[in-house]
Amino acid sequence: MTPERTVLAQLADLDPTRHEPLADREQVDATLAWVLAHDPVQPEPTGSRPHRRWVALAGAAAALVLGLAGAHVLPGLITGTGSTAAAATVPMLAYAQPEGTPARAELEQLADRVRDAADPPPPDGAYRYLRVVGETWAFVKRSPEGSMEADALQLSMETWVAPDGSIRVLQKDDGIARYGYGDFAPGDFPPPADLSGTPDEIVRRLAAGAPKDEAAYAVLSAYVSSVGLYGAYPAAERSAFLDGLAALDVTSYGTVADRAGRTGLAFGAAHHVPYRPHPVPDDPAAAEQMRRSSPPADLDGHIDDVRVILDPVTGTLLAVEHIQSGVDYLPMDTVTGYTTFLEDTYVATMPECGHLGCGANGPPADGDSPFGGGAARPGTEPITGPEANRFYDLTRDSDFTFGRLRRQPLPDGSEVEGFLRNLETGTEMTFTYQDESVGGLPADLLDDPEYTAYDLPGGRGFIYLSDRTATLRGQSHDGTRTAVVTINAPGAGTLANEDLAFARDVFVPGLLRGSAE
Amino acid sequence: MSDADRFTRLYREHRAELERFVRRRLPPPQVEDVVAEAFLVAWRRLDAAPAELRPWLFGIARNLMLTAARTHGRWHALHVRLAAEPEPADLELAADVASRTDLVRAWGKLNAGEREVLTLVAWDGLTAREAAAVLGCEPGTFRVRLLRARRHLLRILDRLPQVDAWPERPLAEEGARR
Repeated sequence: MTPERTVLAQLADLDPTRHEPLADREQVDATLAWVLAHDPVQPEPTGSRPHRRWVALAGAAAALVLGLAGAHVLPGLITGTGSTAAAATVPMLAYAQPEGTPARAELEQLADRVRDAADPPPPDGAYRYLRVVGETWAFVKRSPEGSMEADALQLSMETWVAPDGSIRVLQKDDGIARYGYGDFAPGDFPPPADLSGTPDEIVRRLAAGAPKDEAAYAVLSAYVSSVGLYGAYPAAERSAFLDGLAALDVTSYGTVADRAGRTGLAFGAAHHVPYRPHPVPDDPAAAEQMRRSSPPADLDGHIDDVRVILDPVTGTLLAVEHIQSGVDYLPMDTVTGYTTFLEDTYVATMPECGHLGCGANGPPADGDSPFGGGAARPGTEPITGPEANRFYDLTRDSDFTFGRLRRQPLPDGSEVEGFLRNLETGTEMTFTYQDESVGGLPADLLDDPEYTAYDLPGGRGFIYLSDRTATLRGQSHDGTRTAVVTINAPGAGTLANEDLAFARDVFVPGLLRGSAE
Repeated sequence: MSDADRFTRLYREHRAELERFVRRRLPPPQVEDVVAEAFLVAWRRLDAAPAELRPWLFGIARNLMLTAARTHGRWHALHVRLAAEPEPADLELAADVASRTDLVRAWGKLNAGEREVLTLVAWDGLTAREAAAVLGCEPGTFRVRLLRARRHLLRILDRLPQVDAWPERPLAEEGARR
């Protein structure tokens, strides 16, 4: 027997259940009866879909504004082995001291300079305006046998902070304002980090109980997050913070030019990220998919290194770099993301949301809708309760969410009109639906030469398609139910095929099925 | 055969090994709750049950334990506990006692992920394919992880000081006698 086999056999002797009694027969039977007393089919979850837009924005905030950008993996498309991904990421910045040295003396000197620096004159505008731009990489494997690929995402975030602490955010992914503006009430994000008190008090507060060897990373991360959301601190607080930071395990990398070309001083801290197992889906098919696309487990964990680049005179935050080491599928010291803090000023007003939409997380306009979706037509009434559920059910398995669902009185009846948005792609959809009260689509719509006919279950469909929009008209065979649906791609993007397919194959047929089914 | 009959048969066949799987990872007072919840998930997913039931059931239980651990802020791999007082097979073999002691000491130096891999094979008796299904990875990946974990354990064992090299009494006590 090999030593490895032997050690496994010896381990078996240490099994705690070898000497512990199992549950008695009574307990075993009671548990069986308890399980069988349950309905074998789990009830479908009810209520509104989760606010995925919030999730998206909050995730982006975590990745960019909060300064936590770093390598990540896309769900279900996780990494494999190889180094091709790293080749696609940006190279390490040219630090004057690439190996790093203890930062205490340099931080104390910088704190002295900042202490002597004057704060700019009081601002004119009421709203603090911040703009950050960054890039982050996901590492994905497109197929189980494929090699790993880097998937870069360019992110920009503009933030307006009102005097009452409410925040409006405009995030762009690869230049597209996919989610429109996002409005956040005071308290939706953590408040600014408190930099009052002595340097020691400041770092203790920001470390928030982190172990000593993790304190520097925790303090730097908390500081970056706060500056990213609320802007730079006054000089007195910056200098106190730097004095506190000097007492921690921080590394100086010397002078460096950030990715916006500005010269600053780089300081970094690292922490170990332990192995974190993920639950395996209970659904065998999903588990199989996860198994096929999962990377080898990173049992040893890896090292996250966050480096801040500070203005050499004022100490203000210019940029953050994120570097990882010890990830099995990445070379050592791979830059996995960066954020540059480009503007921090005051403006007189917040921007109007316009066609991008507004108030992602404000009070619902109609029932459970998570966003306004434009103004309701005058004279319309919101549809709620069981009548609304029929329409909500049509989007159950999609990323579309209702922003408006109302009934419009007509001279000879009424129509339902609504607005939806795909919270993942940003595609917007408006529709009108009429049932028995109106006798089918007008003849000129049915015979419109610009439209292409297609078959749909229970009726006839007509579609007009361009790169960015599609209009679909549908009518049930008996002519008692009609629907007109228009979908628009967000910004200047093209219409996603899956959104068109949803409108054509799910939403329009669903409307025409009526309430009887 | 009705669903209830199918499930009862599944329950009777796998109840003991699932309980052992959970018992190895949780304090005794928490075991029955997780076992019951795991079988409830299985009951509700009976139609999706795969041919190999054991790794499927273990995976369900592991998910429940991971979720509970996350709820309590512990993100590490499931803590696999050792027998409180490991009992050697033959108490007369001093060398065996020494190796067990070393094993317990070495075990403490493994990380949680390595312990999980080793116990799935050594305690739960799973094949590499079954253990891979529990962890949601490829069998080949699991074999590599198992190999690494075993070798790490052996390296630690090699570097541990010999038990017979230890002083019989604490040093401070010896000094006091002089």
